Amino acid sequence: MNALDVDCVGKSFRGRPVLTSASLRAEVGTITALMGRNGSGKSTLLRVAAGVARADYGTIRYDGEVLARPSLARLARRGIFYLPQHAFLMRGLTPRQHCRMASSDAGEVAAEHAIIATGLTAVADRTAGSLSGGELRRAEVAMALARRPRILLADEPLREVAPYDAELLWSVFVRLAADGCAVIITGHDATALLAFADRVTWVVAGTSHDLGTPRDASENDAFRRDYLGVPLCH
Amino acid sequence: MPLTLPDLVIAKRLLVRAAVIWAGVRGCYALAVLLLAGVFGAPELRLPITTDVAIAALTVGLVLMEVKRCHEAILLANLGVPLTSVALLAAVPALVGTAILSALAP
Repeated sequence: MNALDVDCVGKSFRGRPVLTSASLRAEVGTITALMGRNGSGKSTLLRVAAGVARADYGTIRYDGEVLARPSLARLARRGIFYLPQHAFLMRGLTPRQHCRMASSDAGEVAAEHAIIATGLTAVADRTAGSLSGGELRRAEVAMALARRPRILLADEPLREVAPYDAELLWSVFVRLAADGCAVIITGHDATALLAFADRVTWVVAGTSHDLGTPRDASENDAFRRDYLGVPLCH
Repeated sequence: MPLTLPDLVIAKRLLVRAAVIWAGVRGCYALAVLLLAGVFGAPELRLPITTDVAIAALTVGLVLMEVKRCHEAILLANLGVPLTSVALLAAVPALVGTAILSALAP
Protein backbone atom coordinates (compact mmCIF):
# COMPACT_ATOMS: atom_id res chain seq x y z
CA MET A 1 0.00 0.00 0.00
CA ASN A 2 1.28 3.46 -0.88
CA ALA A 3 1.27 5.97 1.95
CA LEU A 4 2.39 8.68 -0.45
CA ASP A 5 1.86 8.87 -4.19
CA VAL A 6 3.42 11.74 -6.11
CA ASP A 7 2.31 11.53 -9.71
CA CYS A 8 3.83 13.42 -12.67
CA VAL A 9 4.53 16.66 -10.81
CA GLY A 10 6.21 19.66 -12.37
CA LYS A 11 7.87 22.62 -10.71
CA SER A 12 9.66 25.65 -12.14
CA PHE A 13 11.63 28.38 -10.42
CA ARG A 14 11.60 31.75 -12.23
CA GLY A 15 10.72 30.06 -15.48
CA ARG A 16 13.44 27.41 -15.15
CA PRO A 17 11.89 23.94 -14.99
CA VAL A 18 13.37 21.83 -12.17
CA LEU A 19 10.82 19.04 -12.27
CA THR A 20 9.08 18.23 -15.52
CA SER A 21 7.32 14.92 -14.85
CA ALA A 22 8.51 13.35 -11.63
CA SER A 23 6.78 10.64 -9.65
CA LEU A 24 7.52 9.13 -6.27
CA ARG A 25 5.94 6.45 -4.17
CA ALA A 26 6.37 5.68 -0.50
CA GLU A 27 5.20 2.24 0.49
CA VAL A 28 4.28 1.39 4.05
CA GLY A 29 7.13 -0.39 5.85
CA THR A 30 9.76 0.19 3.15
CA ILE A 31 12.77 2.43 2.58
CA THR A 32 12.89 4.13 -0.81
CA ALA A 33 16.21 5.59 -1.93
CA LEU A 34 15.78 8.72 -4.02
CA MET A 35 18.98 8.98 -6.02
CA GLY A 36 20.26 11.35 -8.65
CA ARG A 37 23.04 13.75 -9.50
CA ASN A 38 23.34 17.19 -7.90
CA GLY A 39 20.72 19.51 -9.34
CA SER A 40 18.60 16.70 -10.76
CA GLY A 41 15.59 17.76 -8.69
CA LYS A 42 15.65 15.27 -5.76
CA SER A 43 15.31 17.87 -3.06
CA THR A 44 12.60 19.77 -4.94
CA LEU A 45 10.65 16.53 -5.39
CA LEU A 46 10.95 15.84 -1.67
CA ARG A 47 9.90 19.42 -0.81
CA VAL A 48 6.86 19.10 -3.05
CA ALA A 49 5.96 15.76 -1.46
CA ALA A 50 6.33 17.28 2.02
CA GLY A 51 4.09 20.24 1.23
CA VAL A 52 6.96 22.70 1.67
CA ALA A 53 6.89 23.68 -2.03
CA ARG A 54 3.81 23.74 -4.21
CA ALA A 55 3.86 21.79 -7.49
CA ASP A 56 2.90 23.68 -10.66
CA TYR A 57 1.01 20.61 -11.84
CA GLY A 58 0.61 16.93 -11.01
CA THR A 59 -1.16 15.02 -8.27
CA ILE A 60 -0.09 14.11 -4.75
CA ARG A 61 -2.03 11.55 -2.76
CA TYR A 62 -1.61 10.95 0.94
CA ASP A 63 -3.14 7.60 1.92
CA GLY A 64 -5.02 7.72 -1.39
CA GLU A 65 -6.49 11.15 -0.68
CA VAL A 66 -5.70 14.15 -2.86
CA LEU A 67 -5.25 17.29 -0.77
CA ALA A 68 -5.99 20.59 -2.52
CA ARG A 69 -3.38 22.72 -0.76
CA PRO A 70 -1.08 20.46 1.23
CA SER A 71 1.17 22.16 3.75
CA LEU A 72 3.73 20.51 5.99
CA ALA A 73 1.95 21.69 9.15
CA ARG A 74 -1.24 20.03 7.94
CA LEU A 75 0.54 16.89 6.73
CA ALA A 76 2.52 16.62 9.98
CA ARG A 77 -0.75 16.05 11.80
CA ARG A 78 -1.34 13.13 9.43
CA GLY A 79 2.01 11.63 10.35
CA ILE A 80 4.51 13.12 7.89
CA PHE A 81 7.91 14.24 9.10
CA TYR A 82 10.30 16.11 6.82
CA LEU A 83 14.04 16.36 7.39
CA PRO A 84 15.39 19.14 5.15
CA GLN A 85 19.00 19.40 4.00
CA HIS A 86 19.74 22.29 6.33
CA ALA A 87 19.63 22.36 10.13
CA PHE A 88 16.22 23.38 11.48
CA LEU A 89 16.42 22.94 15.26
CA MET A 90 16.07 25.95 17.56
CA ARG A 91 19.59 26.97 18.51
CA GLY A 92 18.70 27.72 22.12
CA LEU A 93 16.96 24.40 22.82
CA THR A 94 18.56 21.03 23.55
CA PRO A 95 18.06 17.77 21.62
CA ARG A 96 16.18 16.42 24.65
CA GLN A 97 13.75 19.36 24.59
CA HIS A 98 13.21 18.92 20.85
CA CYS A 99 12.55 15.19 21.26
CA ARG A 100 10.12 15.81 24.12
CA MET A 101 8.20 18.33 22.02
CA ALA A 102 8.07 15.90 19.12
CA SER A 103 6.90 13.02 21.27
CA SER A 104 4.21 14.92 23.16
CA ASP A 105 1.66 12.26 22.23
CA ALA A 106 3.94 9.29 22.75
CA GLY A 107 5.37 10.42 26.10
CA GLU A 108 8.85 10.98 27.48
CA VAL A 109 9.86 7.37 27.05
CA ALA A 110 9.83 7.79 23.27
CA ALA A 111 12.04 10.88 23.58
CA GLU A 112 14.60 9.12 25.77
CA HIS A 113 14.54 6.09 23.51
CA ALA A 114 15.22 8.32 20.48
CA ILE A 115 18.16 9.99 22.21
CA ILE A 116 19.71 6.65 23.10
CA ALA A 117 19.05 5.15 19.65
CA THR A 118 20.86 8.03 17.94
CA GLY A 119 23.81 8.00 20.35
CA LEU A 120 23.10 11.48 21.70
CA THR A 121 23.06 10.71 25.42
CA ALA A 122 26.27 12.67 26.11
CA VAL A 123 25.09 15.83 24.34
CA ALA A 124 21.35 15.59 24.93
CA ASP A 125 21.34 18.59 27.29
CA ARG A 126 23.59 20.86 25.26
CA THR A 127 21.93 23.54 23.16
CA ALA A 128 21.55 22.83 19.44
CA GLY A 129 23.67 25.90 18.70
CA SER A 130 26.69 24.28 20.39
CA LEU A 131 26.47 20.93 18.58
CA SER A 132 28.65 19.88 15.66
CA GLY A 133 27.12 19.32 12.21
CA GLY A 134 26.98 15.56 12.68
CA GLU A 135 25.48 15.82 16.17
CA LEU A 136 22.86 18.24 14.88
CA ARG A 137 21.93 15.83 12.12
CA ARG A 138 21.58 13.00 14.65
CA ALA A 139 19.46 15.24 16.88
CA GLU A 140 17.15 15.92 13.95
CA VAL A 141 16.81 12.20 13.23
CA ALA A 142 16.20 11.64 16.97
CA MET A 143 13.37 14.15 16.79
CA ALA A 144 11.91 12.30 13.81
CA LEU A 145 12.16 9.00 15.69
CA ALA A 146 10.50 10.49 18.78
CA ARG A 147 7.66 11.75 16.59
CA ARG A 148 6.97 8.20 15.33
CA PRO A 149 5.96 9.33 11.84
CA ARG A 150 3.99 7.31 9.32
CA ILE A 151 5.97 8.84 6.46
CA LEU A 152 9.52 10.14 6.82
CA LEU A 153 11.00 12.26 4.03
CA ALA A 154 14.70 12.69 4.70
CA ASP A 155 16.84 14.90 2.46
CA GLU A 156 20.46 13.79 2.78
CA PRO A 157 20.14 12.76 6.44
CA LEU A 158 23.66 11.36 6.51
CA ARG A 159 25.41 14.51 5.35
CA GLU A 160 28.29 15.44 7.70
CA VAL A 161 27.74 12.26 9.72
CA ALA A 162 30.74 10.07 10.55
CA PRO A 163 30.63 6.44 9.31
CA TYR A 164 30.02 5.00 12.80
CA ASP A 165 27.13 7.38 13.41
CA ALA A 166 25.80 6.83 9.88
CA GLU A 167 25.43 3.14 10.73
CA LEU A 168 23.54 4.13 13.87
CA LEU A 169 21.18 6.32 11.85
CA TRP A 170 20.64 3.62 9.26
CA SER A 171 19.56 1.29 12.06
CA VAL A 172 17.04 3.98 13.09
CA PHE A 173 15.62 4.20 9.55
CA VAL A 174 15.44 0.41 9.28
CA ARG A 175 13.62 0.26 12.63
CA LEU A 176 11.18 2.97 11.56
CA ALA A 177 10.42 1.03 8.37
CA ALA A 178 10.02 -2.18 10.36
CA ASP A 179 7.46 -0.36 12.53
CA GLY A 180 5.44 0.45 9.40
CA CYS A 181 6.82 3.88 8.48
CA ALA A 182 7.26 4.70 4.79
CA VAL A 183 10.78 6.13 4.55
CA ILE A 184 12.19 8.08 1.62
CA ILE A 185 15.86 9.01 1.79
CA THR A 186 18.05 10.99 -0.59
CA GLY A 187 21.82 10.97 -0.56
CA HIS A 188 24.98 10.24 -2.46
CA ASP A 189 26.37 7.30 -0.48
CA ALA A 190 25.28 4.85 -3.16
CA THR A 191 26.73 1.81 -1.37
CA ALA A 192 24.75 2.41 1.82
CA LEU A 193 21.59 3.49 0.01
CA LEU A 194 21.59 0.38 -2.18
CA ALA A 195 22.37 -1.81 0.84
CA PHE A 196 19.56 -0.56 3.07
CA ALA A 197 16.82 0.53 0.66
CA ASP A 198 13.97 -1.67 -0.48
CA ARG A 199 13.30 0.35 -3.63
CA VAL A 200 15.21 2.86 -5.73
CA THR A 201 13.87 5.88 -7.59
CA TRP A 202 16.29 7.64 -9.89
CA VAL A 203 15.80 11.32 -10.68
CA VAL A 204 17.31 12.57 -13.93
CA ALA A 205 16.86 16.10 -15.23
CA GLY A 206 13.50 16.63 -13.59
CA THR A 207 11.99 13.26 -14.37
CA SER A 208 12.04 10.09 -12.31
CA HIS A 209 12.47 6.39 -12.98
CA ASP A 210 11.31 3.71 -10.58
CA LEU A 211 14.18 1.22 -10.83
CA GLY A 212 12.66 -1.39 -8.52
CA THR A 213 14.81 -3.17 -5.97
CA PRO A 214 18.44 -2.13 -5.34
CA ARG A 215 19.47 -5.29 -7.19
CA ASP A 216 17.43 -4.26 -10.24
CA ALA A 217 18.88 -0.76 -9.98
CA SER A 218 22.47 -1.92 -9.86
CA GLU A 219 21.84 -3.99 -12.97
CA ASN A 220 20.30 -1.06 -14.84
CA ASP A 221 22.81 0.00 -17.51
CA ALA A 222 21.79 3.66 -17.70
CA PHE A 223 21.84 4.01 -13.89
CA ARG A 224 25.25 2.34 -13.66
CA ARG A 225 26.72 4.47 -16.43
CA ASP A 226 25.15 7.85 -15.70
CA TYR A 227 24.84 7.84 -11.92
CA LEU A 228 27.12 5.23 -10.37
CA GLY A 229 29.83 5.84 -12.97
CA VAL A 230 30.74 2.16 -13.13
CA PRO A 231 31.19 -0.04 -16.24
CA LEU A 232 28.12 -1.68 -17.76
CA CYS A 233 27.12 -5.21 -16.80
CA HIS A 234 27.59 -6.53 -20.33
CA MET B 1 -7.11 24.06 9.35
CA PRO B 2 -7.21 24.33 13.17
CA LEU B 3 -4.75 26.77 14.71
CA THR B 4 -2.33 24.62 16.66
CA LEU B 5 -0.23 26.63 19.08
CA PRO B 6 3.41 25.67 19.56
CA ASP B 7 4.69 23.84 22.61
CA LEU B 8 5.10 26.07 25.69
CA VAL B 9 8.92 26.01 25.43
CA ILE B 10 8.83 27.32 21.85
CA ALA B 11 5.91 29.66 22.53
CA LYS B 12 7.87 31.39 25.32
CA ARG B 13 10.86 31.94 23.01
CA LEU B 14 8.67 33.29 20.24
CA LEU B 15 6.92 35.65 22.65
CA VAL B 16 10.25 36.96 23.99
CA ARG B 17 11.55 37.40 20.44
CA ALA B 18 8.38 39.24 19.40
CA ALA B 19 8.59 41.46 22.51
CA VAL B 20 12.21 42.41 21.76
CA ILE B 21 11.38 43.16 18.11
CA TRP B 22 8.30 45.19 19.06
CA ALA B 23 10.32 47.20 21.60
CA GLY B 24 12.98 47.80 18.95
CA VAL B 25 10.47 48.94 16.33
CA ARG B 26 8.62 51.12 18.85
CA GLY B 27 11.92 52.60 20.04
CA CYS B 28 13.05 53.34 16.47
CA TYR B 29 9.72 55.02 15.79
CA ALA B 30 10.04 57.16 18.94
CA LEU B 31 13.62 58.07 17.98
CA ALA B 32 12.57 59.04 14.47
CA VAL B 33 9.78 61.24 15.84
CA LEU B 34 12.21 62.77 18.33
CA LEU B 35 14.68 63.60 15.54
CA LEU B 36 11.89 65.13 13.50
CA ALA B 37 10.38 66.87 16.54
CA GLY B 38 10.34 70.17 14.70
CA VAL B 39 8.01 68.67 12.10
CA PHE B 40 5.79 66.31 14.11
CA GLY B 41 6.16 67.53 17.70
CA ALA B 42 7.63 65.57 20.64
CA PRO B 43 7.03 61.76 20.74
CA GLU B 44 4.11 60.58 22.85
CA LEU B 45 3.43 57.29 24.62
CA ARG B 46 -0.01 57.01 23.10
CA LEU B 47 0.07 56.79 19.33
CA PRO B 48 -2.72 56.97 16.79
CA ILE B 49 -4.38 53.58 16.36
CA THR B 50 -3.18 53.30 12.75
CA THR B 51 0.45 53.74 13.86
CA ASP B 52 0.04 51.13 16.60
CA VAL B 53 -1.46 48.69 14.09
CA ALA B 54 1.35 49.39 11.60
CA ILE B 55 4.00 48.79 14.29
CA ALA B 56 2.28 45.54 15.35
CA ALA B 57 2.08 44.40 11.72
CA LEU B 58 5.76 45.21 11.18
CA THR B 59 6.62 43.27 14.34
CA VAL B 60 4.69 40.22 13.13
CA GLY B 61 6.37 40.47 9.72
CA LEU B 62 9.85 40.69 11.25
CA VAL B 63 9.18 37.73 13.59
CA LEU B 64 8.01 35.61 10.64
CA MET B 65 11.09 36.62 8.64
CA GLU B 66 13.33 35.62 11.55
CA VAL B 67 11.52 32.28 11.95
CA LYS B 68 12.02 31.57 8.25
CA ARG B 69 15.63 32.78 8.25
CA CYS B 70 16.50 30.35 11.06
CA HIS B 71 14.61 27.52 9.27
CA GLU B 72 12.41 27.23 12.36
CA ALA B 73 9.33 27.28 10.14
CA ILE B 74 10.18 23.68 9.17
CA LEU B 75 10.59 22.72 12.84
CA LEU B 76 7.22 24.24 13.71
CA ALA B 77 5.53 22.73 10.64
CA ASN B 78 6.89 19.29 11.58
CA LEU B 79 5.15 19.78 14.93
CA GLY B 80 1.92 20.67 13.13
CA VAL B 81 2.16 24.40 13.85
CA PRO B 82 1.33 26.65 10.86
CA LEU B 83 2.85 30.11 10.39
CA THR B 84 -0.56 31.70 11.05
CA SER B 85 -0.28 30.50 14.66
CA VAL B 86 3.19 32.03 14.90
CA ALA B 87 1.83 35.31 13.49
CA LEU B 88 -0.94 35.39 16.10
CA LEU B 89 1.53 34.65 18.87
CA ALA B 90 3.90 37.36 17.59
CA ALA B 91 1.12 39.94 17.77
CA VAL B 92 0.54 39.34 21.50
CA PRO B 93 3.55 41.33 22.87
CA ALA B 94 2.69 44.23 20.56
CA LEU B 95 -0.90 44.31 21.83
CA VAL B 96 0.14 44.00 25.47
CA GLY B 97 2.92 46.58 25.07
CA THR B 98 0.61 49.04 23.38
CA ALA B 99 -2.00 48.55 26.09
CA ILE B 100 0.59 49.17 28.82
CA LEU B 101 1.92 52.33 27.12
CA SER B 102 -1.60 53.61 26.63
CA ALA B 103 -2.34 53.05 30.31
CA LEU B 104 0.87 54.88 31.30
CA ALA B 105 0.19 57.82 29.00
CA PRO B 106 -0.95 60.96 30.80
